[in-house]
Amino acid sequence: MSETAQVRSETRATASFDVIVQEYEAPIGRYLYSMVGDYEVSQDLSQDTFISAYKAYDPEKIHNLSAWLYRIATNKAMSYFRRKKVLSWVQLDKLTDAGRDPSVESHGEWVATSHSVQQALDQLEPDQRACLLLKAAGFSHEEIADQLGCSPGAARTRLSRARDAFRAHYGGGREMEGNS
Amino acid sequence: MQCHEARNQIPRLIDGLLDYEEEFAVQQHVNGCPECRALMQAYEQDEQALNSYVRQAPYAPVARNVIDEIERIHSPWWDAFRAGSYRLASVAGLLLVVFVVAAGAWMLREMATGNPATDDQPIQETMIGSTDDDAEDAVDDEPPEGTVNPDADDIRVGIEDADMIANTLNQEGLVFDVDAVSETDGYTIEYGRIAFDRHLTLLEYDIVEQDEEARLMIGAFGPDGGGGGADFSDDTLPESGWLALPALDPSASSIEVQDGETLGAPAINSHPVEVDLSLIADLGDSRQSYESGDEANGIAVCCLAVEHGVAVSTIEFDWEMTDQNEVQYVDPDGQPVERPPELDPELEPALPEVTVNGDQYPVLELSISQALMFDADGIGVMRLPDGGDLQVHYEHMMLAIPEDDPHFAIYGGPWTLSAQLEEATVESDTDDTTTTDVAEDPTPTPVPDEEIVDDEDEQDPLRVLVYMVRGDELGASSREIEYTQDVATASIQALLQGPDYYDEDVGLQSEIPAGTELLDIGLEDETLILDLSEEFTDGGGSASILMRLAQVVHTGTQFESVDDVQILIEGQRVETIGGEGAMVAEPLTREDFEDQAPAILLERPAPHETVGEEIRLIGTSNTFEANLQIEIIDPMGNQVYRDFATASSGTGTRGEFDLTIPVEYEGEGIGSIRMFEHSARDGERTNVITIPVVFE
Repeated sequence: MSETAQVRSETRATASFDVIVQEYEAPIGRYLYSMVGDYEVSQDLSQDTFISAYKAYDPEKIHNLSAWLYRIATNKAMSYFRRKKVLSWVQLDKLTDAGRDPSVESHGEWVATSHSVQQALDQLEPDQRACLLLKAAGFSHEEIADQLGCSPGAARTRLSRARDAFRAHYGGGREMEGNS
Repeated sequence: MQCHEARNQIPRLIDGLLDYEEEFAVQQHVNGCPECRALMQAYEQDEQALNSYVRQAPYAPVARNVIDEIERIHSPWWDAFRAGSYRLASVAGLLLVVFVVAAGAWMLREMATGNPATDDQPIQETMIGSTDDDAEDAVDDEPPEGTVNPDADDIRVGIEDADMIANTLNQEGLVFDVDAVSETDGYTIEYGRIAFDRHLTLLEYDIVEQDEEARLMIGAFGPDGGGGGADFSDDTLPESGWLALPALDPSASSIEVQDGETLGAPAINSHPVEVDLSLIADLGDSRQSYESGDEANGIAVCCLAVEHGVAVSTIEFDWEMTDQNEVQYVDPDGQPVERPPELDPELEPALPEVTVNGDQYPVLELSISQALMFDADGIGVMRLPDGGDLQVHYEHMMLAIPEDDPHFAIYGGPWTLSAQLEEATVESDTDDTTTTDVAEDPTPTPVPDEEIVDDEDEQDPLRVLVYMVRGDELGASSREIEYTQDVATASIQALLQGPDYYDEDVGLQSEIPAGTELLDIGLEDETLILDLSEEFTDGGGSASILMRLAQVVHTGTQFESVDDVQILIEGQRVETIGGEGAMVAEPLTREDFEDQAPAILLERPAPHETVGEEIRLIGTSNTFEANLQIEIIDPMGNQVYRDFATASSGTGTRGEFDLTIPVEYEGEGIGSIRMFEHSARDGERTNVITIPVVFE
């Protein structure tokens, strides 16, 4: 391939990846925010996700782009949680509120609901969180299993545990309202 | 349908996993049962709340940054250079206020091992040299007194410091002559010497001539591609001085100094230099980990490790924003300022003060491995002593201000980190690798019922195997336990505690009844004697009893000094346990439980164990003609290894395998190891075992 042709093809590759980023930055960004509950961190992870994806991107090998991107994002989030564990001296209650996007606070009522969803998510183990969020993003048990590196059976078990745990935290308040 | 059945089925119904008849049955029950209806509604509400949340959650747009980065990484030449000069070209979009010498210490280690492939974190350029920005009179111009030029966008270590480092390295024979001139249409460069330390490489250069248009990159690379360079294409780097680069692999006997003209072109000049870096290689692992933290004004800092080089030590630490609302913005004098509305070049960070036993050590470098994230960060100081009270004091610190997004401007402080530097004989570390890392030893020897020998400072946690049950076969798992000489007791107790979170995830359970206690333990000759409480015999059929015995016997015999296990119940030797009478009068061996063992029992790595570029697979197998198929999938989902191996025996006899497999993988996170055999009958995959592992 001549140098010019190579440059052209690289430009095309970049351009097509640009489209991928534009299409997926919102869902991946939202997924990562829901995972970590921290705006800054989610941005870093999201950026990391797309850079890693770009480096490994091979259209011929990737059959399900969305699942593949979520898998990379999930791994980035899990790595983040593992790293964070090292910092055990950071107070946990501070971490859960850390770095929330202040602009979100002005959204009034929506914040009231979403906050409790995020707070409930924050209470779950990271991989339970991933399970619920990947399910909500529309992936099948098989795809979730692939993204989390476990068997479909384990993914089902984990999802069902995650669901119960989420209900205990998120639904707890709701049930009390219902009873009163 | 009963309520408890319906409750199990409701989540499956919501997931759409039930067939028509099952769904009908559940619906019918739910319609007539208010409690189950409420439960189903609760599940549905959760589902809706989550679904709507994931569509509305805030997200940070990344396209601009990512496309910027992508454009930079996609040329091959830049690929080679990005380790060293990644950040430079992005100065327009992101001014790093702090960048001095080398990249984060952790990144340097990666580079030193010649593994730039895993580098997906940006590193800013690395620079030592004269701080003079003026092109006209840069050559031979001495920098101003002191090490910091307040007019420069970045802070650079003055030439005196680079000379000081080079002098120290020279005394140790780690400075070599390059003495070469590179000439092209676009530029002329003279190279003087090159100096090597554990954490960085210094290259002496002088750009005699450079066209304004010419792109110019200079770097030094090892034979395996480790190393890095810097971009001299704009005016931000001085025309002569020492260029600080990531460390090179000390096993190299020849390295190359390279320069190139334009992005996308191959290196056009290359100067090989014969080197002998065995002194650095002999330093071994001087890394000592600490976790000393301090938190101030919403930012927490943690000292992670100290590592000694020949002339330069590095201190690796980690930043974490803990509360955005508490972060204060202060100017270099410590006066509070508003969140900077735009880039203010006047704002410069303070360098930390590093003292050991009250003596101050000059900080030579300060770096941020990833500007946008609170991440591993390192500083370099002149060689620290091996022992003493280390203190790192930051008055304040600015991480980064992107020009168009002051959101990331973070000030904070002050922080003081303290750590007790351990006495370490650096040179001897390479010789006795067997005693330093007990956790890596797959078969620690138990010393139950013996006086614990008080052994110097072997405090590393241990990893022991516990055997759980997957389906109707044994499966290995592992536990990290605190260092103890009495590993047998610790592992049996870990086993009795049952499956942990990760075990359940990979379908591992225990047949040992909860509440079973270890009453006593002893070692007679090579028989491990376990006295278990009577709960051990509770419930279960003969399959369950045999399985729980298999779990105990496998766990007990993982140690070389244990051949077999004698079970006692409540202090008594009993003939049989369980309704159908499993024989336990005599000591039991692993061979007694061949029926419970899977065809392939992969013991290490255990599920969710961390693995790296060399994966050691240890286990036993009983497969047709001892054949084993192996596949390794990396965190990106790529199959990075596929081959077959043979165990020491097979076809009816259990054999052992211990294979070390080098893998080149991408990304970090969860991947998997899959082992199986091809059925002798139809060639289909059979006896498949898949173990998720964490790649780091």
